[in-house]
Amino acid sequence: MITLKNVTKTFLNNKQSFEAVKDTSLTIKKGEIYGIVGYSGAGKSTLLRLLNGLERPSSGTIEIDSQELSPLSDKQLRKERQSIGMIFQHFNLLWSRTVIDNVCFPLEIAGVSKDERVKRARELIKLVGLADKEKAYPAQLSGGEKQRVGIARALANNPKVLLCDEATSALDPQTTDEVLELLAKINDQLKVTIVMITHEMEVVRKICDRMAVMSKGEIVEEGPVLQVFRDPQQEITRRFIKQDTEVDEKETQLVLKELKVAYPEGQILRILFQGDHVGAPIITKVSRQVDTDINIIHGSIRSTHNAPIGSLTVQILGDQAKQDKALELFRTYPVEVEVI
Amino acid sequence: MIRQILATGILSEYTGFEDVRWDRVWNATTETLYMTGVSVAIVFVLGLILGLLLYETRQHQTIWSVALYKTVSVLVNVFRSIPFIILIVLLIPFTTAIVDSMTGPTAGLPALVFSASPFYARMVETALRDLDKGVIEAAKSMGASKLELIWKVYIPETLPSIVAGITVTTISIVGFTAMAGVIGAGGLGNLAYLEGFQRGRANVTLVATAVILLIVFVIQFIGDRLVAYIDKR
Ligand SMILES: Nc1ncnc2c1ncn2[C@@H]1O[C@H](COP(=O)(O)OP(=O)(O)O)[C@@H](O)[C@H]1O
Ligand SMILES: [Mg+2]
Repeated sequence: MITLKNVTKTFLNNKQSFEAVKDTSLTIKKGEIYGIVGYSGAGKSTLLRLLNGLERPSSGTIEIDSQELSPLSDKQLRKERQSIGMIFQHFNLLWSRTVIDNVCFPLEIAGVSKDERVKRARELIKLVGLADKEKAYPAQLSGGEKQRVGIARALANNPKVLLCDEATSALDPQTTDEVLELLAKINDQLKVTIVMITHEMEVVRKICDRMAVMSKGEIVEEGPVLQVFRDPQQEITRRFIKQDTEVDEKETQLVLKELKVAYPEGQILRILFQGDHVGAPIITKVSRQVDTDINIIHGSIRSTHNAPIGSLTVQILGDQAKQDKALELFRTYPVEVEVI
Repeated sequence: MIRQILATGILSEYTGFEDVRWDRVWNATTETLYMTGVSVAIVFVLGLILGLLLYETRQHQTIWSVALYKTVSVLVNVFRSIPFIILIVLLIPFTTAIVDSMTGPTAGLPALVFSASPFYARMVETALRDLDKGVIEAAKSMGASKLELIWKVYIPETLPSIVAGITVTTISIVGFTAMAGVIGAGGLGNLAYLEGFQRGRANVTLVATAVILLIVFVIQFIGDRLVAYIDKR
């Protein structure tokens, strides 16, 4: 659906050149939700703007739905953009227009007749759950409602792709979840390919199928979300995953310290399960086979778009031989084991 | 102090309105309104175009844009800085060339337009620069062309500033018309000067002042109401 080949974007600032996107190659499949995480300044927004031709690459090629962007004239590019929706961190609605007129805006640009516009806009406003706010002005809406309008507006021309630039970063956690749910629903119902960029790993975990990690203009890691979470290759990816689990991390560390003091001989492991294995009675099995006690210190489960990921922090008691045996046994199961 | 003034009878000049020729006041008022109305209409369009031009050319780094920006910018600054009374005198040759007679309200128009348009153009440019960049990006991401951007984003989204700006500009134009009156362009300024001052009829000056104040208040009131109505932020 979307293919980037060796794309580089260089900006010239006061005679100084700066590579915001470096030699990036990427394939995004039709109908998937693709997440790109990275810290501020990593070049995520630039990458997204390359996808709808708001920026032209300095080198490399970009293909959307087997249409290469670079040979297109400005006019053709504007036409092409009508089939690529985009939503923003700060919603970017026109404050001078009502909700329905905001949703009509892209339809006006596409030259849709007035009756058609209103009909289509009403459908979309209903889809995003704002039927009663049709005549309101953006200033009268909450952040979550504004983003819903943004989504309705982005979908107006039946886009093949929806680009989301930090779409939930200005929203509170509750509203973030609602907006993510809406995006997942849209992806499911309308089969729109979604590309999300964010600095929040949580967002990627919750709705993306595949993901990439971007750092200093480069994609440093890429793969299915579950795989990246289970087996991160880069330090920066680990940091992002940790940020997602940070909340309970602090308390766990505290308990860990206390336990290490109380049972200095015990070995502490972190076990990561995913998907089908979340429910498997691995702990009991190992405990029985080795004939030793296993303390459960902390457990958590997080949902991802495809399957849940669970994490357990456990302590194996008993002598060294038993501990080694247990560790070995754990490794025979399809889980990730980490000695802490 | 006040008692002294009263005692010396200066204020007594302002009593009794029997010798005020109301038909002349009415005439002068229509002339002022004519000069203001016509020049505001021209200034609005010209200022908007210049303001958009300043805003657009400022953003681009190409030689043509930079040259255009510099040229317009210098012209705007020069005309904005010339004191109005001097501008009138400076423009006399130009005015006679295009309006024939150097007196009458129409003769005041070129100077009014030349001095107020740059003033308004800068206001429009500032309003555009305050416009949220995100909204422009959003419109572009939907495939809007430059013309669509101007009509559907730039103007509607800056409308409160555009209207507030033209209100302020109109009020200063009313003031300028009074000055233009002194050099023979008619209007309330002319009336106050010729009838009121030169013929020593202080009452006429007082009436002219009151009418000008009334005009200014009405313009301000309408402007404020309009801004409040269109501003949905
Ligand atoms: N139009 C531009 N001109 C010059 N530099 C730019 C431009 N756009 C972005 N940059 C630079 O590129 C880098 C990446 O920016 P951006 O893509 O916005 O990052 P992110 O969205 O990941 O925070 C930043 O250092 C930024 O200053
Ligand atoms: Mg960004």
